[in-house]
Amino acid sequence: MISVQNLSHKYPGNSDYSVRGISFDIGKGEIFGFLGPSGAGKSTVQKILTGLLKKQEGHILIEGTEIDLLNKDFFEKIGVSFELPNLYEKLTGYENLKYYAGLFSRKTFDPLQVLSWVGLENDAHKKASAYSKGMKQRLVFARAVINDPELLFLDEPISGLDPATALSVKRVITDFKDRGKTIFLTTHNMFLADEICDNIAFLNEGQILAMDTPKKLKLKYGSYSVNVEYRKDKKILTELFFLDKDEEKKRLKEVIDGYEIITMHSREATLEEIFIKLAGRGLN
Amino acid sequence: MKPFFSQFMIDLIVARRNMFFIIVLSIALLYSMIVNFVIPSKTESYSINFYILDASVNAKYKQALMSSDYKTFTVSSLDSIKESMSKDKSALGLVLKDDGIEIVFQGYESLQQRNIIKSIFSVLYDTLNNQNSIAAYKTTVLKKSAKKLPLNMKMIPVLLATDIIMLGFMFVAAMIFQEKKEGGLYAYRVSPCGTLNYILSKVIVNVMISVLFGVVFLFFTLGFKTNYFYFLSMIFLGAFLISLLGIFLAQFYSSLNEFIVVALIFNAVMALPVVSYFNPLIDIQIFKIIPSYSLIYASDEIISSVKNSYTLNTLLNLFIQISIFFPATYFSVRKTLIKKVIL
Repeated sequence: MISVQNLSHKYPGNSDYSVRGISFDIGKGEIFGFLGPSGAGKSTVQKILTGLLKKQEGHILIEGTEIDLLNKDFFEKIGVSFELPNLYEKLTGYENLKYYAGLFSRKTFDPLQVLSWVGLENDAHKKASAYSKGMKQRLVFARAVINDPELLFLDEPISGLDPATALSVKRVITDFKDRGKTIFLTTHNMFLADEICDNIAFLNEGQILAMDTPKKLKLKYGSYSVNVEYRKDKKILTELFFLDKDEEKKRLKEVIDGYEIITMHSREATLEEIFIKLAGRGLN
Repeated sequence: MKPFFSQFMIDLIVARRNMFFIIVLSIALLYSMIVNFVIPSKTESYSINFYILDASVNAKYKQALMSSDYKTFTVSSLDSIKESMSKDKSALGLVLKDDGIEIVFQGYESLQQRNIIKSIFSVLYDTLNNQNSIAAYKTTVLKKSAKKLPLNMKMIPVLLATDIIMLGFMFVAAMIFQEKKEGGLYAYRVSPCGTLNYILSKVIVNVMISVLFGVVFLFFTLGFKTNYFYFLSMIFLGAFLISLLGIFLAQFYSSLNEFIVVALIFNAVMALPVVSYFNPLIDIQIFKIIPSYSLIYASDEIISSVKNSYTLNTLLNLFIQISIFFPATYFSVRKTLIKKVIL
């Protein structure tokens, strides 16, 4: 579906590349997660893939066609959800969807139906300016799926949403995947990526550090760790020990020998821990 | 057609909720009231008062002057003339003697104006002395069918043109800046709707606002006694051109604050032809290429004349200007707004 080879991008006035020689492939019907902290280059890649930024270096093929040659048929088939809400504030939620849907020649969903997917059916006729930030975020997501796109670009789709609403949005995303749609997801939320992505790529400072299925990444880069809760000087402390490191094994032994253990659980490394291991920095 | 209609509806709702229609309706009604009830049909500023001292033997000119078209006041001495003129700054003084005429100027009159006044009074003096110099002149009237517009009617072309140009220019720019600020443009850019629909929807909404203004304003000032076909054609084309100009210039700025200087300069330039309209002596050639010039003069012609040659010429010129400017706006908007990301 999408093939990216040696993609690089530098913003005018910047001496450094924001994206440096990255390559990846996304298959049809796949959810591909692009993970990294703010400023890693995730949104830049999404902007290039959606035509908002002109490609500078490298090759991008979408369904076999070079991105520079794509015409309005491409925009008929894509849906884009932006990180920051960008709505017509004077229009109601319903009007935002209704008239945006009208820009497409293909069959679109009923705006009220899509609003119900994201829990906005009762606020359909309120002006977007009266929406909270989370409601605007949901409306932007709803707008991205209104044309039933074949290729969906989502930038931080559940950022700032409460758990129940985030679950609704995740359900819509997985429903789209089940219907054979391809989804490009950029996020710094490793739990979301772990939960719904088929493949993920870690992006840091414009470069891909690792790329595979979440399970394989954990097998390849992660190691089993032990979470220990113990009492020290009348205080209860919690510490995580990675068993592939001799230093941490030694420290675990010291804790077991020296203090009263309250709980001790072994667990699989998270994607975030793997990212920290590879990038030397956290995601936030 | 569906994509255009959808974008048009977005722009129409945004314009309506921004109160653009209410604003132009209010202005149209306000202008109508000003034209009908505030501006007089005649103004004293169009006539000059003459303070005259008849120093001839037996005051032989006095009776003739009292029955002339000039607004005259007879006084008894030169000092009275000076005193009256010091109170009435638009007045002139005349001392009529048996051997000639003495003209008392205020001092601000140009040499050209003084010469014209001297010529007029030399003719008048000859006439009063039965020398009948008028017979030596042949007169030709350029527009025999034209009626002289009362002052309040003369204001209609100016008010019509300034509203179409100034408000139209600002409204279309405001729509673009609102879209930039809210980010709706990004969503539009990842839709298949394209540049043409983007420009046309905004232009048509703006034209509708101008037509609404024109219909209300003309109906309440001229009633049915004018040619609405010519007027509406001119408003349509004029608003179309101004909307293109507004979009063309607004695309290069990121906010209304940055744009305000350009808007002020634009509006100041567009107001220049008003000077020529009220003072035909200041008919500078370069004013004629300013769109407001042709709108004002064509409107004047539609109201005052049965012939509409200048109006037809204006409509043709507007059409040609739109034909040239539309592709320029299309390609620049495509490059600057639709294809380039403003970070």
